[in-house]
Order: sequence, then C-alpha cells, then structure tokens
Amino acid sequence: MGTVHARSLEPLPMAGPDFGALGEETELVEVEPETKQEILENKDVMRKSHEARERLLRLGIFRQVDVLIDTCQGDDALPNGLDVTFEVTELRRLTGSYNTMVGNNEGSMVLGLKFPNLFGRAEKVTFQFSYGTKETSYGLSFFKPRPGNFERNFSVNVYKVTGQFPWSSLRETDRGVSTEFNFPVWKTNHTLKWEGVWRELGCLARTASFSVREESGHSLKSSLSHAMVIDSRNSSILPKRGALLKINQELAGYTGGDVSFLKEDFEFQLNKQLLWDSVISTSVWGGMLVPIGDKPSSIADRFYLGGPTSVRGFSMYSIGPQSEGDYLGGEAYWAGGVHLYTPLPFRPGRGGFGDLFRTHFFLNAGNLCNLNYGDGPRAHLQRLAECIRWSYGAGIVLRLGNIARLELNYCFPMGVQAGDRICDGVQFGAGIRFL
Amino acid sequence: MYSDGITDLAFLQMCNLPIRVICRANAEYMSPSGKVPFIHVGNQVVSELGPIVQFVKAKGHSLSDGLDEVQKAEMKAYMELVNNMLLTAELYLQWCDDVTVEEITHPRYGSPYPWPLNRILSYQKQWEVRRKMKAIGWAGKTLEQVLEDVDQCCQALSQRLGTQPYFFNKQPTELDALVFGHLFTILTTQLITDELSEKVKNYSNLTAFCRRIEQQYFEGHDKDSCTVSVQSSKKSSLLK
Repeated sequence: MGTVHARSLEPLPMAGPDFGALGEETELVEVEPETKQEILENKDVMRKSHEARERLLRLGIFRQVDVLIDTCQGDDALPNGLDVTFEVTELRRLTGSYNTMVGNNEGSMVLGLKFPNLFGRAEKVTFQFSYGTKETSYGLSFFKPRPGNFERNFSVNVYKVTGQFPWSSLRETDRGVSTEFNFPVWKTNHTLKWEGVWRELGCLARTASFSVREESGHSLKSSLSHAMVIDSRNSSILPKRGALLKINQELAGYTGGDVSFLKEDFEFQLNKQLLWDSVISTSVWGGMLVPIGDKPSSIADRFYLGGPTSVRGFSMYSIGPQSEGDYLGGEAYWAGGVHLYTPLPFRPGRGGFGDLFRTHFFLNAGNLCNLNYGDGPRAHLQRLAECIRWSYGAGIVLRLGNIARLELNYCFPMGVQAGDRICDGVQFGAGIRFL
Repeated sequence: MYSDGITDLAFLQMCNLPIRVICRANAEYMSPSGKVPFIHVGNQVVSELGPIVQFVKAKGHSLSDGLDEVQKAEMKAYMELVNNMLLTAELYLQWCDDVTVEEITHPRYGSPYPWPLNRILSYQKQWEVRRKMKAIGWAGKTLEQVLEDVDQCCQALSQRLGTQPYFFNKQPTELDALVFGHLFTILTTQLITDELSEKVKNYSNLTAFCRRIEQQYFEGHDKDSCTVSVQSSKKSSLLK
C-alpha cells in the first residue's frame, strides 16, 4: 500500500450501535488537529488512536473499546484520509457486587453498588456497605470528572469506617464527609480537600493504659488539606526507574471542630536501574504535627512508625512513645530506606511467573518522637537524630497486579530503644505503600 | 450522673481516704463500664458505687463492718429503693420532661462539644435514656406521678432516719453516702421548677441530714485533700 499520508485528522466522534440508542450525550475526544502542511506517518495515527482508546477506558464507563482504522470511503472522503472508528460497548447502568469476608474473629457481608455513568458525562456514584458481626461501615461517593479532561475531577464522599488498632489498644469509629478537587498543574497533580469527621475513640480492652483511656470520647475534626504529587516512575509497584515526590499538608480547626493542628508530611522515592536487571531504590518519609492552641494532639492524628511496611524488623507501629505497652504515636518522624532489587537467583520461571518475584536487600532507619515546640529547629533536629532505630536484611517480594506487593523478609533490627517491640527474624508484610 | 459523683465522693470522704477530683468532659467514655464516676488507683480503674465499695473493702476500709446481718440486708433494701426511685426520677426529669430537656439538659450535655456534635450526642443520650425508661415502664408516667413517687421515697427515708444522725445510728455507712448524693443533687441542681426540691424540703430531718454531712465531710476538707478542677461546671452550694 505504501506510505499513507493523512492530511488532517478530524476530531473523533463516538460511534457505535449501543451508544446513541441509550440517549447518552456524545462526547468529543479532542485530538490535536495537525496543520495541513504536516505529513503524518501511519504510526502516528496508530499511536494517537491507542492513546485515545486508553483515555476512553480510563473514564470507566465502557466495557470494551475497539479501534478500526481504514482508508476513507464515501463521498466526502479526503484523498489520503483515514477513517478512525471507535466501537464501544458500555457498562450496564447499575452494577452490583456482593462478597462475604472473614477475618480476625469477625465475619462480614459486603454489598457494593455502582452507577458508572450517572448523568452521561462519566459521573460515578458508588455505595459500599459492610455489615459485620462486630462493626458496620458504609461509604457513598460521587465522582465527577471534567468532560474532556479526566485529570480534573472532584468527588464527594460520605462514610463511616471503624478501625481496631491493637498496638495502641484503641478502637476508632469515624463518620465523615469529604469533598476533594484534583487538578493537574504542568507535571504535578494537586488535590484540595475539605474533610469533616466525627471521631469516636474507645479502648479495645479493659487493660488499656490510662493514657489511652484518657483519649476516649468524641471529637470533631474539620480540616482543609492540600497534596501535591509528582510521579515519573514507570510503575507504582517495583518501579525500575523514575522518582516520586508527594507533599501533603493539613490544617484543622479553622473551619469548625474542636481539633486544631497543622500537619505536614512528605514522601520521596528514587529508582535507578543497574546492570543485570537489578534496581536500586531509595526512599525518605517524614512528617510533623504541630498542635495549635493549648490542647494537646489527639492519638488519632499522630504519626506511627514500624512494621513490615515501614521500618522492617519492628512490630507494627511499635516504635516510639508508649505507655504500658500501648503505643501512643508521635508528633514528628522520619524514615529512610535503601533497597536493592534483583531477580531471583538462577531466574526460575523466567518470562512468566518468575518475573513477579524479586529478591531484595534492604537497609531501613527511622525515628519517631514528640518535639518540644518551644525549642528551636536545632534542638528538633537533635532530637530526631538521637536514638535512631535501624535494621537491615533480605527477602523476597511478590508483585500483585499493579497495586500491591507481598514481602517475606529476614530482618536484623538494631538501635532498639526501651519500649520498642521488635520482630527479628522472619517478617511477612502485605500492602500498597512500603518504605 | 451527677448524683453518683457526689455519692462516691461522700463515701470516700467517710472512709477518710485522700482523693483528688478531676472533672473531664469525656469521663463517661473513659470509664470501663460507661458510668461515671470512676476511680483511678495505681493502674486500676474501678467504676460505679458497688465495685468501688468492694475495691475499698479489699484494701481494708469499710463502713458497714459494724452492722449485723439483718442490718446489712436492710441497708441493701434501702439502697435499692433509692436507686430505683430517686435515680430514675432524676433521669426522668432530666431527659423526659420536654421543657427541661430543651432548656437545661441539651445545652449542658453538649457544652464541651462544637456544633453539630453537641446536638448529635445529646439526642443520642436522650434516645438511650428514653428507651431505658420505656423498658422499666416509666415512659408512660406523668411528671406528677414521678413527683408522687419521689415523695413516697422521701417519706420512707425520713421515717427510717427519724432523729438519728445517720441511718444506722452513730456511724455513716454506704447508705448515708448514697442518700446524701441523691438528695444533695436534687436540692442544688438548677431546674425549671423547684417542685422536686420542694418535695425533699418537706422533710426537715432529711435536709438537716444533708447539711450535717456537707459540713462534716466537705467544708472542712476543701482546702487540703480535695482539689477540684472543673471543666464544665454546673454546681451551686447547698440550699439557695
């Protein structure tokens, strides 16, 4: 056929048998129109169609999107033009799911309902309800992206969640409302959020320490927060290259409520590929909580450190200030890790299942403490630098899809302070966010 | 319950134990059983009068050692009477009488919390108390009937007290602490009407009893062993 030159690409309309029949508004996906002087390769058309297809799938309203590229036909055909047709099948108007979950001496039934495209512009309404033998929780959320610009979106959530934290002998029930706006600015992604939460804290056991008992009761937190994310990694789990920077700040108390503080925290990660398919990765986390006014900070707002997802070799959230075995969290922390990921020795299952596993060697360190805000920054740095907990070890990492990972490590905790609980030897961890 | 606080305080004062009183808005949630007050000794937390009496007895202090079995049974019977009548009447008046609820109880109960939490929590408490009233059959009672019951209870107590200084003659017992706690609360808490406190004032030996205990155990000790830091204060002194 030879090289096909397309003079211009028309904006791509939605076409497909199901789409119009349901009376949905058609949405135009704008692809940059090229000037008539420029000559496009065939490859360019395919790349752009692929991008457009990805964007359509990201809206979450289509079950399937097929792209058909053919030469122009018909009366108004351009001489060297191409017809790009997107054939889509939509999701059902209402989808539901029902699961049962069992774990931790509790069974629960989870019901989910979703409207993937409520008003025709990819608005999503999801409702999830979990009814368990011990606790009940629910969440209702409304999500609306800006038409033509999915990264700009806002959502409103109403929720009730309950959590049990055995490391602090604490039980927490949160009922809240939140609204958030997401928008991109150049290469970064920003989120502005307001959240109002009614928190109820209680003791998990009669043997809870008095410091935790004192925190029981009700409080209302109304906060504004802003987060900025720059992510240039090629994947969020086991990335091979790229960097991540996340900075988050939260100001509570100026829009109501009885909890007042300023909270800052950041996360940084850098990955670099070395020879023989191995990757070296460094990450740094840190945060600070400054209570405003004369009320002390609440145990529900403080930071926690330790565990298979942060400083390995220590028990879950078992570093830092504690009282009678209950960990109270701290107002400032930092943590860092250096990892070397290599493929499994002798590369079993290469090209298939074996690629999901990596061996990893790590060095983690961190500290969590309360700062005396009267002293200067020098004193703060000094406090954070004394009594550093650190650990090293090796293990195997399994990648689960693109979201989570499992780790099985052998750890050597060091720098253990009185009161910390360690988990030396074999430690297992599962989660989304790891140090 | 405010009356329970005074009861336990009186009991501990009578046992001559040094105590420090701290008022907290979340005391109800701190307590292991959900009832106030509770005592925090060493690393033990004990709430409600019964367990506190047991705890103190295990430590070697008791007020009712001098009583024989018959008297002890009688004391228990009177304590039940007070709990069933006076305590329930106080709860009824605070939470089931619409005028009192709106003007006094809701603002007082919700005062430590910001809006809208103050409304939510006081409605939650009201619903809980009304459900309890329904369970014990008091939901259908009118205010007059409740006041009538209080009057009968006071009459029984007044007859038992007679002219003695304490219910079991010379020494105070848990019953004295309990009766004092409730009567003192009724006499001093501000409500819309004075009908409840009037019922108690009809019996002069009961008011004399309250005044005597207040003078003996509270006014003398105010300076040294009892430090009170109040965050949400609703008290006034005896007999305005």
